[in-house]
Amino acid sequence: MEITHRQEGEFLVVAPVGRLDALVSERLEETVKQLLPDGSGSIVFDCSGVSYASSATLRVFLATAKRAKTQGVRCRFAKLTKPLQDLFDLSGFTDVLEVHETLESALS
Amino acid sequence: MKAGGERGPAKPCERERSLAIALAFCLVDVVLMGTAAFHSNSLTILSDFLKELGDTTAVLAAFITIRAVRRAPSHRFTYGIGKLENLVSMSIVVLMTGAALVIAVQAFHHLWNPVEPHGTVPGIVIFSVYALIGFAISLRNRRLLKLQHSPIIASQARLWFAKASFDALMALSLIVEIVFRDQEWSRHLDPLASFIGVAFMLHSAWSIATESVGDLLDVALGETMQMRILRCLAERFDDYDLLHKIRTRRSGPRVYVELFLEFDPKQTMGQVRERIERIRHSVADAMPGADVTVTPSTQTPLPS
Repeated sequence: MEITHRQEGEFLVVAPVGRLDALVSERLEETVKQLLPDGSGSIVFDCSGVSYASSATLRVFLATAKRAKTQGVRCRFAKLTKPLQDLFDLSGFTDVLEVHETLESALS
Repeated sequence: MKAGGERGPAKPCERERSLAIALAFCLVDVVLMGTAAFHSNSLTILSDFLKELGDTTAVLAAFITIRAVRRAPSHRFTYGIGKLENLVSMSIVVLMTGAALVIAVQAFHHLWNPVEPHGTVPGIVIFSVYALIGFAISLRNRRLLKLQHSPIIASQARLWFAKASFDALMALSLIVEIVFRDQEWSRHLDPLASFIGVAFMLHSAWSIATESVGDLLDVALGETMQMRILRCLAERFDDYDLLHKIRTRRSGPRVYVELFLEFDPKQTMGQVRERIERIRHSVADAMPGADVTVTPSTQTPLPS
């Protein structure tokens, strides 16, 4: 599992890669908490490299979206892999979170 | 703020009735198999009689326990005695392992000292009838499990499946033994079939043990249940500000869910309470029987 991040203009792009199990989700949560901008800008999760996500990871995504909203930051999810898209649909995340098919769309 | 108590279609009285049926079956089985063993020289039938005694003890203990659990909570056990189910399940594991060892010893003895069994027809009839009934009870318990988790019903479903499989194999081996009674190899069928039965029993015992130990150590809910909780939180996305933690555990037949959420500090106590109730009901409806607590929190709680 690898978590990379880069700044693209006003967007902070976080790209977790590999299997996001319960153990990894704790690392992801800590990383995102430290990186989450305050009051302005946007955070984009590039999910194109996620092969598996546990419920703990989904909780991190939901908690981050809530935290971002509270702090006035836009939170987007881009390029969901098929397994992750299925989980988003199953958990109802697709209805409440901002999901984009491409990274370009999320960064626009 | 707690959700209502145990709910859902699998009520305690249904579970108790299921165990009562199983107990009646066991007692009849012990009497019949004891009679068959008395009139036969078959060690396989004798070892099965010993196994039935172990099963009956396990079911009797489970029946008594589930009645005791229904009476709780008391002033001494204010959270109930749900974990008693796990302790009983562990005793079933010990009994099943013991019975498996006894049968294995008997099987080795038969392999090295093959004997021609006689008087096995009553045993064949009993094995066949109880194999059918055993599979039916196992199926009934599995249907109950789909409605509500219970370590005892889970252990019973496995116990009856193992028992029915064992009975079917015993009947088959005894039938083949009679049909080919002139062949030397037929005398080894009983012990060989017994080994398969032993494997079934040990596998069941292992499954029950791992589940019960997990429950005793407050294991978190599985992914399916976690997904249900997340779906509720997604549906009530605008009712809270921050999601700090989701803590879940099983205790016997009960499921506990704790949600640590942060709310807008500008809201009044009454407004926050309304939102908490909405979230709590949403999760409780999605997980019948779950004890749901929503705790207003401003930080992630430390592990308790």
